[in-house]
Amino acid sequence: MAVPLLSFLRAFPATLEQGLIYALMALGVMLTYLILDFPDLTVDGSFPLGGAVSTSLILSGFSPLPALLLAAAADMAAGLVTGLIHVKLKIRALFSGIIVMTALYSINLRITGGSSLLSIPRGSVTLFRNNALAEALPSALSTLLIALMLVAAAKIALDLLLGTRLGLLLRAAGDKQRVVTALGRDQGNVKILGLALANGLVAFCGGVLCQQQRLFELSMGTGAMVLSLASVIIGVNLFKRAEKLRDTTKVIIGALIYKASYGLAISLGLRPGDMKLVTALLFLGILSTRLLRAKEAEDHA
Amino acid sequence: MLEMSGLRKVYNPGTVRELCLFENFSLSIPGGQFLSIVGSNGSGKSSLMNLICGTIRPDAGQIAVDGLDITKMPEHRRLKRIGRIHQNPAMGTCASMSILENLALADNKVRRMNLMPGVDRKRKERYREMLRPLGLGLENMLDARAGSLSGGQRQALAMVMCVMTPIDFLILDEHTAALDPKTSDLIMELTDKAVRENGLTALMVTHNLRYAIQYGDRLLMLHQGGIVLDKAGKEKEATRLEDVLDLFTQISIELGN
Repeated sequence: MAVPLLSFLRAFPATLEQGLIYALMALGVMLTYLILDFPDLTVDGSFPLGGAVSTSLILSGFSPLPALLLAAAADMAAGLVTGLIHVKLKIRALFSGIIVMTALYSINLRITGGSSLLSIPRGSVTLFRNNALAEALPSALSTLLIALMLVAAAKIALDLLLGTRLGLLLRAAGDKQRVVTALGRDQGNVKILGLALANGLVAFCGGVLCQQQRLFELSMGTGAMVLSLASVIIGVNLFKRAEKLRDTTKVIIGALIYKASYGLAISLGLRPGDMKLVTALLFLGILSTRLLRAKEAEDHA
Repeated sequence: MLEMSGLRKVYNPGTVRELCLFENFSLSIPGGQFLSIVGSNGSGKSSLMNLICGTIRPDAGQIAVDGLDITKMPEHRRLKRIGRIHQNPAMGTCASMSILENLALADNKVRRMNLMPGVDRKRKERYREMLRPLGLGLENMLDARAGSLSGGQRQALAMVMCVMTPIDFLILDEHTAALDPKTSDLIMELTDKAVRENGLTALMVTHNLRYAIQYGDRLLMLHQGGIVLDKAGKEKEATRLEDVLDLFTQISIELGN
């Protein structure tokens, strides 16, 4: 027991960094799944899209931040397409996401010029290296602190957004479409907008992760949606009674817990390849208990 | 003035279940009129409401408001000037949002849905004043989630949200049917008050013949997509519950119910 625990603790800072970065994607998935009530599988394609765009741009000499913003723009376009397919062609949410996700695989390969791996040289400027902020921070903690800043910024931005008129409308679209229509707004357009915003956040995550790992992998998107959803559901269910805590906070904690349990499982001897199965089972467990609860509660009126 | 002329609506066209509900249906409702519509199930009451709101489109005919043809206007555009209360009290409010947030949403109907703060705290007192006359205590629980309210409270909240911004028409689609008798009476009184105070043109579909007699200044009975009774003004006032009930029973017997 002592050896796995030790290796878990040794890897803990890295786990925390990863957890924070993945929390960015979980926040995006929270926006679609929790707020808009839209299971958006685009994420499996838009997560690597964000990585591909940002990494390619950095390799061609862009600064990390503009690269991320362009990546976010690319992903917003992807979310927009998913939304248009769903709303205008009236194709089910899951299928709309799968269609775009599949198309993105090819598009991502085009962006990287055909290679499924891109590595960022040590000397390149990224958010985590070779910039003034990273050099000003203590080197052992700089990655963690920068990741923390990014997540905090995303959380605050999302909280602020959800409190605006537009934010209320997005929440209404996920809660009761009729209300959005009754307000004289096209609920389809509200959904499309929400999908674009959420995927923008996902791109951000993909780009940041690639910059931190200094590596882009085409396969990084596989299961991205499920692991983000697991983070969302863990966070929201664990703190069900904590009404004071915002959903964004719960989701970030959920992502950290997910990554920590992932790290624990690895140090207990499971292989990285086993983890998709573990995630699937975990996910199944949470969803089935959640389903049972959904029948009892809500909308008794 | 709401004018429907030559409306035709066929369900499941080209199948064995084809049902022609409306054929050359016409009805005009002068501005400011409170119209009650009764009729058995399948008589076309709800379809009529859906046609007016744009939830469904007619296969032929025209719907016009003050001379403006709205037949092809999408539902959400029409609802800018139409308020609609559904039978299910859960339809008019967002369960996961607080009373305050729901009211703010309705308040923002006429505003741009931009990045301004969604809830204007300065309007809180104004919201309380709107809720107080309901006598349901909603004014003291602005932070409660709408999903935690009773059916009557939720329907009353939906009503307030509907008439919060200026509208021309109020569509009431069996809006008391899911409530207990006492709460129904309360919601009916609130409805009547809202219609009179705002000078609205109102269309109320109801299964409650008593309400249809007691409220409104015109009474319509639909049967298989046609108007079998249409009384307004003095004629309506003279109409007794028994008369309507007799006709209603007669129709039902014809149908074999």
